[in-house]
Amino acid sequence: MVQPAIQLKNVKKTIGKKTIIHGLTFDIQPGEVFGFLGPNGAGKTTTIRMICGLMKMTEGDIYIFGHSIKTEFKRAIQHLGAIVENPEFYNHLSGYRNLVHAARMVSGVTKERIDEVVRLVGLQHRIHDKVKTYSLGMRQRLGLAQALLHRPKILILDEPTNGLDPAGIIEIRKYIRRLAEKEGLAIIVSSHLLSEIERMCDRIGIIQNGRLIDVQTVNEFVNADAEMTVHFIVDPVDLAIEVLKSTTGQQPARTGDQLQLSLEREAIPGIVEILVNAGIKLYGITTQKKSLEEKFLEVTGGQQIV
Amino acid sequence: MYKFLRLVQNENMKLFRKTSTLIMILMLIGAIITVGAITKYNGLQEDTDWRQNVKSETVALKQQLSHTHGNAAKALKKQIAVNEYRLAHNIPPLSNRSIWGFTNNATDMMLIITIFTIIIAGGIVSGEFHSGTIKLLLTKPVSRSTVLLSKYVTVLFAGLSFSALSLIGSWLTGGVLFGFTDLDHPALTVLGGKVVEENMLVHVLAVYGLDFVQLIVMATIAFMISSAFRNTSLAIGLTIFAMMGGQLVLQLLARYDWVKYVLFANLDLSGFFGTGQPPVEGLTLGFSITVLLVYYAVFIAIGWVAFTRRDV
Repeated sequence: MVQPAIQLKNVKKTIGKKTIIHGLTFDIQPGEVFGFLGPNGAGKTTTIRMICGLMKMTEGDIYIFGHSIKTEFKRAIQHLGAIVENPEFYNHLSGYRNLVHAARMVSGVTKERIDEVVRLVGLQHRIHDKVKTYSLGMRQRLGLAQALLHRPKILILDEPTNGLDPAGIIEIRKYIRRLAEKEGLAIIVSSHLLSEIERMCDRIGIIQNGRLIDVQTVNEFVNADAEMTVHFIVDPVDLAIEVLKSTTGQQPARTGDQLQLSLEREAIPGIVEILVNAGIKLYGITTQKKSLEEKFLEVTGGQQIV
Repeated sequence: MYKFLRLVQNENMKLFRKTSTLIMILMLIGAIITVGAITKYNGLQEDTDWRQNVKSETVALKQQLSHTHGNAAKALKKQIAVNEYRLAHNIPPLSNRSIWGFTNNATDMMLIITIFTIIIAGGIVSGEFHSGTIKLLLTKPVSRSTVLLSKYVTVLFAGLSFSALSLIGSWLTGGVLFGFTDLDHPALTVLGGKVVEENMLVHVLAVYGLDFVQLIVMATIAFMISSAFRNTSLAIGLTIFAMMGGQLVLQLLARYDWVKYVLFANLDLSGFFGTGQPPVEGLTLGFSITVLLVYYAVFIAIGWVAFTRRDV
């Protein structure tokens, strides 16, 4: 078996008398993009901070390629590149000097590597400007450059697309996939944009109130439920509503000439037949699986911060 | 070790590219030049007969001595001895309007330099927490102790740079304003009960060196508060308050025997040298150094524990 990139073993965190993390155990493999999801205050950032060595855990241990973050901090952390929470920099220095600053703290980063990373994130035209003149999107790019500088095998990204325009989001998403697939990096992504996680990640870990309530692949997660929303474009609409109501027992939702029903896949042909037999013109059918977002709200019960 | 030096290089890059640091340097240079200009163009005319002045001063000192005891009496005796040596060997006191006289007076800049260094020490750790950039430092393969040490060394380096700037700047200003003359004028001081002649450069360096002890202790207090409470204003405010209020505290506590264990009683080591006097009776140089080292170790330990143990 391949050695996991990151291994959490019964990680607990207690602050005062309050237990924030109740024993997390999971592995992340090289080449895998792992989405870390949870409502605000669930413990995502606390967990990420413990993985990065910023916070000490009360119990348990975290291993990065077999090195304990507690006892072999330097050997463990050298494999890791991270943006924790917002990408923050020394605003009075240029982007380039910020990268030089980061390069001096690790081994083996040459001037060529800095230039390479700058081109990679597309900051070459502004890199010698002071960071205080940067937009949030540019800070994100600089954050990514800083995290990738020493060619880490693990990348931790908290809200990586925050502040990027749509083109930037697509670019970053592609880039994250490429890093995982071509270079075999293990990547942890936490995001509020759940649709983002759906497009970027291989597996999802859902954390709530400091407990890991589910770890699944994205496909399993989204397809687990057979029911989906089916849209019918029909004419006349009123007649269709009555027919559908009497056959399925559901009151269809109406938007213009569209009707929506929640159905299992197997039921769709039967419904179509009934509609056609009733003389209703059917212009189109679309099906819509539950998005990760809906699933997520369902799994976490739509709970607010506890 | 190599990585440690690169961290120090980082800290210096961050510090000396700050506008506030540049303003400090400009203020220091500005202060030296202003004082020099005032001395040259606005000072009172000095009496040409220095012998008469020294003689009458000695008479006044002797009168004072008849009703003084303890440390103060010792200091007066030394001062009288220096005056008599001056007359006997025909060495006039240094004029304020000479290169060395001005350089010697400019050692007072150490007060400003100490405050500047406190400001730097108070912000260098807590500033990283305030801006969130502390994460950039602590998620790298460097131990927290190394990060903290690199910052501490940078603070002391800044204090040293300011002091060197003050010394060189005041010497050059003095030279430009009053002429590069009389460069071998000796300083008179008392060493082992005897009056001796001393090179002026050695004398000025000694003054800076003794003041630097106070700078180190004060900067360390600010640094400790900065890393323990992560609050810049608290660190700077408390330390400057302690520095200003220290002498007041000493006066209030002077009647107690344990006052000699108070930090402020031991900060000014210049009392043990030359014609000075220790601020509190019964102190010795060895005792003061020991007390300072104990306080120093405590401050360093608190700052270090707070920085390396706490969650970020």
